[in-house]
Amino acid sequence: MDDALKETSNGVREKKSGWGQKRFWHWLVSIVTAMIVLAIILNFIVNPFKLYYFNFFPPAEVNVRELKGDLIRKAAPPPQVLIIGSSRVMSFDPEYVTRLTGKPCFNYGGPAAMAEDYYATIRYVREDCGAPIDTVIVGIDLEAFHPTLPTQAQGRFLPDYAKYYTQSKDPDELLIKRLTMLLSMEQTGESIAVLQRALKKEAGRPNIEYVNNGMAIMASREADIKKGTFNLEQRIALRVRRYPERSLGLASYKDLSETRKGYWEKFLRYCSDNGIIVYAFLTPYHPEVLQVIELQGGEKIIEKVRGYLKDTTSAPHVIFRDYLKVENFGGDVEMFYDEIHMRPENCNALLKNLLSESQKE
Amino acid sequence: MLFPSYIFIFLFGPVAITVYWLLRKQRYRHIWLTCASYVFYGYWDWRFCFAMLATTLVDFFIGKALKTTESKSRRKLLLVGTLVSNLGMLCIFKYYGFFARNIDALFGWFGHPAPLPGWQIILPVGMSFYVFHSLSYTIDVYKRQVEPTDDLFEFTTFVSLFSQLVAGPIIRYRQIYMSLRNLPTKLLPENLNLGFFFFAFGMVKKVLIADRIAYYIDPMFADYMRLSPGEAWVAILGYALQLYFDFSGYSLMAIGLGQMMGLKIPQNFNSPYQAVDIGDFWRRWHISLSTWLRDYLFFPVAAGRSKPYAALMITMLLGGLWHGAGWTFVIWGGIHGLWLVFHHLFKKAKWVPRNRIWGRFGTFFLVTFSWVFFRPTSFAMSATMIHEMFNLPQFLSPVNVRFEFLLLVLGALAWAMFAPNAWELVYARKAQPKLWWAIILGFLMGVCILILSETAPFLYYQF
Repeated sequence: MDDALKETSNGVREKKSGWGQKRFWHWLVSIVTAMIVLAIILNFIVNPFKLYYFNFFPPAEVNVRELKGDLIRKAAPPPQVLIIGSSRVMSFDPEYVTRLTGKPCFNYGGPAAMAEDYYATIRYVREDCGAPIDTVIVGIDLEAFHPTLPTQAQGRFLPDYAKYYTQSKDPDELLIKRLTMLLSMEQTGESIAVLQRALKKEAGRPNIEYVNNGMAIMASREADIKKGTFNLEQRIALRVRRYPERSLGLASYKDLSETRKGYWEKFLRYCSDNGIIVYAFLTPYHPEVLQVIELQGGEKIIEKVRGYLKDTTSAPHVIFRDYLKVENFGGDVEMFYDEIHMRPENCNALLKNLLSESQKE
Repeated sequence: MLFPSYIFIFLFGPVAITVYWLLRKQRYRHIWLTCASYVFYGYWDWRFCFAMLATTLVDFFIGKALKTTESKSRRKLLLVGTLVSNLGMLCIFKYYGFFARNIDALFGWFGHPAPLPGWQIILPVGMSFYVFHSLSYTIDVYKRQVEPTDDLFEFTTFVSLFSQLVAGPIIRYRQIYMSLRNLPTKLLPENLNLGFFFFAFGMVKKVLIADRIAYYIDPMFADYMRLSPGEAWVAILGYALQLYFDFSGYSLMAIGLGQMMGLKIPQNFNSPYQAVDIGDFWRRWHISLSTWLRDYLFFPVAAGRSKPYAALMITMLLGGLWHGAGWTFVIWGGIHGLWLVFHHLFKKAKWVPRNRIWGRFGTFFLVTFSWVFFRPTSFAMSATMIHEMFNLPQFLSPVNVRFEFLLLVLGALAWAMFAPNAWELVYARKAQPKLWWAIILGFLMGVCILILSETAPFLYYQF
């Protein structure tokens, strides 16, 4: 009790305010520290993104680049045609390409692929997975040449793939990234979800399933479509505003990144040196998001990307098509899962247009 | 360096405060705080430190000269010197681009080529704040309201103290010099309890409320041309709340850090959205700036006038310009000036509503509406927003916002309009630090730390 009493100037002992007692900040700091330590231990042991040592639990998120590397090694016959690009090409059907070209095909589309991924992928698939690729279909997103958007983590955490990122400072960057991710809310949430599933002995229910030729099946959305609960209009209305800034990073996208241009040119040179035919196209947007991008001043960067791609694809082994607008390949505005991801009907229409029209030429 | 960042929370903050308490001599502590503050500031860009050092040295020596000068004309000359150097610095770094654009546009209108070079000058973060810190010192010394210091490091600590360096509160030397000259030697539990309480409270406001709201409203403002009336209202309401939680959260964190070092930093926000009239709002919002402008601009301009409306308008227009180099800020200041003038006139005519709840909602409406000129980056954007907000034929168009965002906005609105603020809890309601407070605040602060990687910078840096 003595601690709670203080002597005033006239010698009277009066009760101290509660703020003068130690308990409060001790508790506060202890709780914060305990939460941080718990999160670190939880994330390190559960390891939901496969970033650390332990593998007691199945990962919350598949490393698509690693998974597809494993699939391509097992593919028989090995693919000669390769589909590459971001998640926007993940639903492109390799079987359909085989029907159009007569060659075995594999879909190596992976989340948020940028220009450096095109180069890393072609080298990884040919040199590390041993696939005799002679044709590449590359879907180029508008943001593929963004000056500040980071390289997707999945590729960076796959050493055989990451070694082709010749211009990145990977080791340090990777270590810091892994360490700071121990404290991320996103990873903590995933760790808890993984633990919950493990306790209930449930298998994860992935939104996306992959078939052996690398094609992604948007399982949950297809299920919604079958049930009649899928509402494209509402989905786009809720997401379209966020796209230009959050995904495209429009405010900082004034010019194309020189580094990423370098990767693209290296990719083209590599293809030329190895006799690989390149079918390149700008990936489509739902018209509503394209309109929002243009309204927010995105026309200039669209023109720059388009102009740059036209300039760099004049070689005879490269065919380039601008499919930013759905009508450019005869697509259907209703055949989208959201503002950027197309349903198989549109994917096939695009592939048919790209391969048939280009072959006519 | 941001307060809610790993480097501040896990490294800079603990080191700066621990070393401060380990040092026994006041002089060493001033030197340490100065060095730490320059590291804190230079973390953005080391070149920014030179501008701050220049301001500090000029005002320190002008203060010393004023101490030894009795001649009225020389004292006036020294005052002009400090005004020119401080405001000149602000004009060059903050307003050159704005003036150049306007003068060039004017010349272009008459068919003449642009006379001013289009230099791209980077505004050092928080310059408007430390210039006002420093300037208030020399003006107070000139007015003989405060004794100038002979201790350079005491002065550099005052100008650069990292807790309120980049986004306020704007502290005046006379408010803090007693604390700076008598830095406490014993770390009291009260300092740490209150410090951690304010810091955690501020961090929750900033990271869990303001940044969450920003996540939803930034895309709406980017897509302002396609907003429906309901969406336009939700966006501006969200911004009103984001700005309040962001800035008051920062101020609380600054106050908390000051407490941890035994320094009393004055309250900067007193639940402004609970104001019952516009005058009351300005006594509660960014109190350190409002009182600064009142004492150093409004009073001198209004002196001797029976109707100080012109002085009020000038103060508010310049106050608007202080926030940013753009006409939208000037208009925002002008609108608030008009609200204040009307308020005074209505008050004289006894037309002010007596019902406090109506007063509170009415004031909140006026203030929220005025942010339409503050957030947008151009007149066209403000005009489009206003057009949409009052587009009556389209009023029933669908409002495409997420339900969780609406809940967040309503919760934040209830908090801002009805809940007591942290300062009130501690000092007016004499709340005691309960264990469950520590548990809740500790948990929320832990969550904040886990989502730090997504945290946006403080809005007030740009000012």
